Amino acid sequence: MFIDLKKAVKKYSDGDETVFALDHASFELEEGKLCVILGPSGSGKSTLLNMLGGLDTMDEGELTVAGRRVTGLSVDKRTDYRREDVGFVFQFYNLIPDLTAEENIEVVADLTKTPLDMEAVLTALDIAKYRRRFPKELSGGQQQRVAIARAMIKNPKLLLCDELTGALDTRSSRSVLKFVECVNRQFGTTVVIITHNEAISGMADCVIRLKDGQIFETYKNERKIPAEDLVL
Amino acid sequence: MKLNKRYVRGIRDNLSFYIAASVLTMVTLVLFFLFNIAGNAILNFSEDFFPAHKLEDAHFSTYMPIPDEEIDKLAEEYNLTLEAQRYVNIETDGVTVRVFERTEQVDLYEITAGEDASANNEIIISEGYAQNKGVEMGNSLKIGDKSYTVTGCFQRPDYLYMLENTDDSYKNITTFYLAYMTDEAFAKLGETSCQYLVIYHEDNSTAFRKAVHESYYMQHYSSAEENLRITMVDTQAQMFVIMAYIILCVLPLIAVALVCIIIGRKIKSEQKLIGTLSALGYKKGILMRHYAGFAAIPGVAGGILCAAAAYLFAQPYSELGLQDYEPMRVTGSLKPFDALLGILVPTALYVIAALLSVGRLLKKDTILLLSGNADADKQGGRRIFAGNKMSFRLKYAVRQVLGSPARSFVVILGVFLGCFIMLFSFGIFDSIENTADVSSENAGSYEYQYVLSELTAENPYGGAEMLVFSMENENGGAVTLIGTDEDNPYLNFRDRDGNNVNIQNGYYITSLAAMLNDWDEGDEIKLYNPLTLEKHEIVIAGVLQNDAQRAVYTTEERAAELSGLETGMHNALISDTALGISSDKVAQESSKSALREQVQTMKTQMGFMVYLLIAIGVIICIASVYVAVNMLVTENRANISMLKVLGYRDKQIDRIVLSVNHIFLPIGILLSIPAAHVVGSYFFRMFADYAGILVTVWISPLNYVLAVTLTAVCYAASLLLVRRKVKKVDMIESLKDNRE
Repeated sequence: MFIDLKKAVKKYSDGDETVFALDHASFELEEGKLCVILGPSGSGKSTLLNMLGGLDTMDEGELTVAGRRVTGLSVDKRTDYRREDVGFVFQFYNLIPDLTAEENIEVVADLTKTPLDMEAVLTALDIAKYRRRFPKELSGGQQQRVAIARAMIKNPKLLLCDELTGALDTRSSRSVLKFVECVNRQFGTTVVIITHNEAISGMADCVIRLKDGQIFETYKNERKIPAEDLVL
Repeated sequence: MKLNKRYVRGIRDNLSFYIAASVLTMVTLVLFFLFNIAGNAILNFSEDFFPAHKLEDAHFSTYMPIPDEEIDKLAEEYNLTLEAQRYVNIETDGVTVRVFERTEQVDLYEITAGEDASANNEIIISEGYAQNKGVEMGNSLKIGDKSYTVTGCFQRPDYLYMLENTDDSYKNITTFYLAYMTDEAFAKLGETSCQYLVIYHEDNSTAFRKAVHESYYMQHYSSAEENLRITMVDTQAQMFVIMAYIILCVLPLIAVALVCIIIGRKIKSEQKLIGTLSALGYKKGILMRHYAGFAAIPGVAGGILCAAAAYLFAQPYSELGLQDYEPMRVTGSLKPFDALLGILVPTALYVIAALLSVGRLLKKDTILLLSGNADADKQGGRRIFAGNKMSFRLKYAVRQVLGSPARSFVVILGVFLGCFIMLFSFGIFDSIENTADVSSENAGSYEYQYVLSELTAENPYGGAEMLVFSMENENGGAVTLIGTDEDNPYLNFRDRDGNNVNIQNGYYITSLAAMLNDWDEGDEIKLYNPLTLEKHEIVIAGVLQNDAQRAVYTTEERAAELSGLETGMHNALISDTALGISSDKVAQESSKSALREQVQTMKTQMGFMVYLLIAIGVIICIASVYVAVNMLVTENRANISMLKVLGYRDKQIDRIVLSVNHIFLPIGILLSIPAAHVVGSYFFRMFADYAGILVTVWISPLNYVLAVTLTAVCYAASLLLVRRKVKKVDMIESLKDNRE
């Protein structure tokens, strides 16, 4: 399995009470698939993404991604993991405001031994004409495409998207999702999208539902819809 | 108001900023306070001590003694207090004691420890010497071939700065002291000298001096204004006050400016919150008051710390500043009003800065504030190199620097001030030492200088003869007239361009005299004979390079004419070897090695103040750079967090984010070098008049390296402190923080 998560637990203490952000969550995902993780606010979606991306550690459980055992990695090794295997796209784009679109992508290209061709990525995400613009000069959709390009320039094995359409209008959301779909198909990248928007699950290969830190439903999407046709 | 609960949390969250801002405020203000307090303490002391102990207006000696009944007549005729004082110098085992006869009307001494001498084998001695040599009450001191028991210590108003000779430039409390004994014991000391002490009650000194000269032939006249033993006290006080107001006043203002800039930036970074509160219905006045409260914290804290430090150190610092003097009983204390001002002024400035920042922000559209884009129109240098192929790290650094001029200014100023203070402090040491060497060379190749106690035409001792005579300028200031042969082997006369000068051509003034009197080549100047008050008008033939003497050089004939002395006579000798003249024939003896020793002593004495300044430079540099880089990290938290998420290691992030200001390190240092020279030059010019020497600013290569290295270390230390903050930035922030 590309992702193999077993009985992941993440807990916080709130006074005398222990709150489980993740409560023995387990799931598996094959390589090259697009998975959507759904759940309301506070269900543990972001915690799960943090674990998958090596941003945070779990209290109990096991995680293996692309054959690499992520659980128990040192801080430096987790940095290597993020650097080599994972691409991130966030709800609020998180571009560096003092750098142009192209320079934001360079920030990651700089870290990568064999980055993808910059022109190819810019063209694939249709942002070549905005390359010298600063984030402030781009629309939300355009910024999110730059963020996807930044994540993709190193050709990651796993692309993690956290509410990537959360700050976008319907048109921009569809456009961005089309690019994610394209990346998944064109580069064979495994994609995990975390969202509370049910409609996005239509484009997924598999869907995971979270509630109160527990995975209560996992299913394969037999009737996958192209992103273009999603009713957002 | 619930909103005010943020104060405690705000301080907790930004503790390092508040500590740094408070320390910066405290350090710079306390320096100003301490100098000001020390200066005023000395002024207050002299204002009380001098009149209470009947300080002379002048003292003089005459070739013919003035009979006692004539003294009374002169005092009555010219409405003045006139008193004769006999004294004797006795040298024993290399130590000279000047024993005075007690006076009743002028220059009265005060017992500062123990009791007055009442038996013929008892003496009281000057307190500075007693402290320096550890002489205690009951100890025995040998004077000549007799021993005396020390019963007390004293101070007298005309000897608070203990110069053995009025022409000396530095105190002597190691081989020279004053003493009083009973009148009977004094009478047994043998032959004594006599000087007359005078206090004028009217502005009639000229008429009095003429009358004395006509009847008794004035041998020497020294007014209190020209007597370094007296003037040094007030000059020292003025130096402290000037230091406080002219030089040090700049530091608190700069510190206040720095903190104001930082507060303004912090408020800008809270624009979303300000927008939110504004949207929630908070009125402008409430928000302004709220943020004014935040700004007031470092002002109040820094002011209170400053007041506490000034209160604690006022007295010891004032006493420490008087190391060169007899132990004056100064009272250095912080006035409550000044302490209050020290709190109120920085607080008010910080509050005003906050009010202006919040006021400006609240003029913006609330929507823009909520999105954090209120200053979006200010692109600054952000667009620079947009199409350039250079590395993104360099472009990021350039845009950070140009996009935040205020923050960049804080870093430059911190580095500049730190390095400037260090260079200035080291420069004080180096310049004094260097000037002593250079002045020695400029003055000539002689090693020993003797001023004889009488005019003579014979010279059985050897060396080169000179005629030395003290003249007065139009303002009563002393100018030394030196007459010598043009072929004097020990003097090499050169002008300011280094060309040889022949003094046969007329009157040549020294460069120090030129600067202090605003004289120059070709000027016609008036000189007065202080004994006869005769006026002479001379034309300056040139200016000699000599920053150590306020003098006019000419031939012996011309000098004799101006001084009214006989041609062919001399009263001074210079030589490269000791001449072995008996002490009763010498009025004053000096050597270049003694001068060099004086310079070393002076350096040791100044050590504390110089090291204190260096420590303050270090604190200012570290605090300013720390505050600015801390601000940089705070403003870039989201970027740092994102870089971590993207797989950048902490060291790589440090290189990208913390290296942004590296360019300001050399810039600040380079700016500080000319500044240290200009301020140093101004500083030494201010004190040239009383010091009798113009010190040229010179900083040794070693101290350049030391100051620059210390500044670089301070800069690196600040970054090291901020590094922890970079390390602490949480990656999860990237997921929740709203961005542009």
